[in-house]
Amino acid sequence: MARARVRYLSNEDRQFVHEQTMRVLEEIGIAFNTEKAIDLLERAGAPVDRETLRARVPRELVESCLATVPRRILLAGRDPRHDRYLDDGEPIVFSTDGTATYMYDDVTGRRWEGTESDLRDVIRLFEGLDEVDMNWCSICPRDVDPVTSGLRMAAIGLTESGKHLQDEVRHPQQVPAFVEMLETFAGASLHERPIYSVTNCTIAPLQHDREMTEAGIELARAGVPIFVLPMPLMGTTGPMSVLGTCIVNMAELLSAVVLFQLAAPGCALVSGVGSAAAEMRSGLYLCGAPEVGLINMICIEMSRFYGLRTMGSAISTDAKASNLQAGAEGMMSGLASALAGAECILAFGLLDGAQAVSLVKAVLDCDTVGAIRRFVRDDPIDASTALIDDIREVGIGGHYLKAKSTRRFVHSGELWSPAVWQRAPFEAYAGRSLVEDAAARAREIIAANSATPVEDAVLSRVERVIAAYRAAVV
Amino acid sequence: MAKARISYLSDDEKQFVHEKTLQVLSEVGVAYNTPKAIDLLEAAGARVDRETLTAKLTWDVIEPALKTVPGQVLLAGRDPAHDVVLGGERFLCTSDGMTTYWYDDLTGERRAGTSDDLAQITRLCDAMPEIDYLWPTLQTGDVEGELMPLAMQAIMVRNSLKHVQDEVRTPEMVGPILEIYEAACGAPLTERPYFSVTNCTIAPLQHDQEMTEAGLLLCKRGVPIFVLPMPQVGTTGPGTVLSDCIVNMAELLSGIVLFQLTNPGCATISGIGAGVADMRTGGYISAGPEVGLINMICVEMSRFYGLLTQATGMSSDAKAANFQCGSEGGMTALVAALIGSDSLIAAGGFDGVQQSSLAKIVLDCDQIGALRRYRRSDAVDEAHALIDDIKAVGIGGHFLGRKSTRSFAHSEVWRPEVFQRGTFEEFKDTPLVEQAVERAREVLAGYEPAPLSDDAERHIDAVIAGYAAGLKA
Repeated sequence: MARARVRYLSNEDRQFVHEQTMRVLEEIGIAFNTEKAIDLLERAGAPVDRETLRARVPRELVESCLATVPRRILLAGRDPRHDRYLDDGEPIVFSTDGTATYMYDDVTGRRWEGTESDLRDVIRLFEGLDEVDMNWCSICPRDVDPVTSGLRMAAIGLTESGKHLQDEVRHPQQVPAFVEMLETFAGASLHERPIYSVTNCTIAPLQHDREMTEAGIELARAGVPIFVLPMPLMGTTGPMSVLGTCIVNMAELLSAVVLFQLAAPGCALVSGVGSAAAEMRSGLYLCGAPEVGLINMICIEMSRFYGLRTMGSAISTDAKASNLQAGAEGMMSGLASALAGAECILAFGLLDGAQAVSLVKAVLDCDTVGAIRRFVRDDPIDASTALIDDIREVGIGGHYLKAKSTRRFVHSGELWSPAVWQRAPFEAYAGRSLVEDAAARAREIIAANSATPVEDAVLSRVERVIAAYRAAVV
Repeated sequence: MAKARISYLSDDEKQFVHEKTLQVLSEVGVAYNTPKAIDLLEAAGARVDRETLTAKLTWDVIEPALKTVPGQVLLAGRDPAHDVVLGGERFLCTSDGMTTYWYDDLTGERRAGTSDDLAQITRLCDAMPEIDYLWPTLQTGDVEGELMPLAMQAIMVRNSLKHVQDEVRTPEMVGPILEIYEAACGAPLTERPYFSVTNCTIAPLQHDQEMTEAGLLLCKRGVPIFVLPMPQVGTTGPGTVLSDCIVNMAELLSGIVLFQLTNPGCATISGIGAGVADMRTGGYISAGPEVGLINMICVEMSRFYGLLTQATGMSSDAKAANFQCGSEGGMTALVAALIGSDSLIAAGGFDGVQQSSLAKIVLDCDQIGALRRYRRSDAVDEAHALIDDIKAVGIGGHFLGRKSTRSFAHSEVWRPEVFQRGTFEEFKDTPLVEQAVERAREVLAGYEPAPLSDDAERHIDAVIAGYAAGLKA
């Protein structure tokens, strides 16, 4: 079977990157910023500084913690038919992305701050798009109660869709409410049905976010998979080289592996790649640059070297609308991640450096994802696909249209077809643009509202959890 | 040095594809359709059938031919400053062609291309540094059919300084076309290979008599030949990606053998034109994952045979220079770049290569720039990893003020000309396509290729007039 794979580093290069990453961890160290982490590291034999809440991380500790990270990770859906696994032999899991402030309408060019109603539409769209395997709450609504916004967004994400949901939890005091709410939706403990996972964002260079980390420790202990997401930006919070930024990314990642495996041995943990480049005039985040594709390749390779499952960040763009730049940037970096072997890839719907969500883009990205899936599929290279008998029979100057094998292979998916991309003759579209076609499809899917409904009793309990949390905080 | 490289077929799988290709060539054979080819092949030991003008080829005929294929090829420009080497360091990109329609990016209308359109788009491609050599992007619908090939070559040499690649369909065209190129560059093509050709086989397993006879003349005149098979999965090729590639490779090797027997050591290159048919309409699909897979397999197999390659391409089936263009083109182009293709048919074609436009050329050039960044080799060492800076900045510091940030900024991060990277507010009134058209117009306003000498102009006019007179007679 052949499957396309990209490789960037030679074996020697890999050893170099590994060695430099270890040196960063052992000689510079990491600011864990929480006593909880320092306690764990000190007990494990790492040299710590309680005043600065920093530690240096010996490579032996990294190795022993890597050994306890599970290789097969379930990302459960509220609706079990949407369960996905990160593992060898499983298809790539394509996730939506986030978290944006704005909605953008590709048809009118209008941009506005997203609302709860927008979030519901977005999640309904994701539920109805078959290429979407799991969700983020892509838009952060401006009109929800800020005290309970994290919980509210998760509740919307799990109500309007039966797919696995990923988001971030920023404060440890939210964790009990989150766990109760999530287990209400799941109807089971999160250890059995992990319907929710979190991103744990480190702060470059070489720091953990105190509150997010403390929340992450409790969530890991409750069975929530942790997607570590370092985000050094070349030239600002990371050095001005792809290679150097990857080393910082990997050092932060491995420090998180150590932290979470010490806190909750055997907890599900995934290496996310969030590093990118900065636009040097403005300092703005650039996610569509080719350097980001290269960063993804290197970090995915290194993560696989460490035996970790990976999430590439990926089908993204700096384009302001769903245009040629958006298609090109997203495809190149998405394909780069897929070829590097990422088990999970962020995709769908974001524009302008992840600042805006477009329903049209989400639909168009589905065809990008479909094309990538076909491209990376394992295909047999043997007599069954070489069709030598047909070549002999049709011979010189014949035609394959009527050959039985042509019909058989067309029906079995040899040739991928897009859902929206336009392939018919020019005249067939009578000037109807691709964006208009995608917008129409988005509207249809949202109107269909196809998620398996949540029982009223569950919804009521969720509301009580959110209200109780609010009351406790306020 | 690290560089991103894709691999697809294992060594065993390459051997399998090789054996199956040989099986097709030796058991089914190829129709050369010209007695000239049959004479050469018979003399080389192939089994031929003079009635059907077909030949069956075995490895003992093919292998010696592959050994005489050069490993690098000069593609000379009219101006030596634009010379490029296929098989050298640089990943070469050409404009795409030949499209029928000129598409107006701003109105969405399209019309048949004209001589003026070809002149304009040729100047644009000539001015864009990302494009290394040129296909005539548009057919000149306003020129009488039989004169069109000559008229198009004249437009190319008058409006560009870069190497030109086109097809020569009949042996009668060889003399006049080469005369135009040699007049334009003032030297024989054996010294300055200013012109190369695609030699398109006809799937399955046939050569075009007239184009092949033209090719036999061309390869003796120093013109590099890019053999370009085009079987389409499901119609002129069998129903799987792999089997279509086997037909592609069989046709390719049959062409390489022919031209090496004609002129051992002549420049012959593997062009990859295999594609996919739309199974509802039989129409040509120029992009999509299967085209990416075909490129991968055919480039890997061509390299297995030691051949230089030209992959296809950055084309799209989209009807405008839009998202679909970027995504489709991005897939096949990135694959071609990272599988190690030597060159790529790149800028300017969409709607299944039926139309071209100003915005598509400009935007494709940014995509080419991004591809080259992906493909670049980079050092993996402490200096490049900026370890000293990581140590100096430490935990929670900032890299903005570091010397290395300034000194690496330009070399490490590629910058597009048009792709939009600033704030939304900066661009909200400037859609990307409009910006690309604006840039095309600026480039065109500021660029004029060096004119041909008066003698060359007169010579070219005389060639065309002479050919026209011959047609009338």
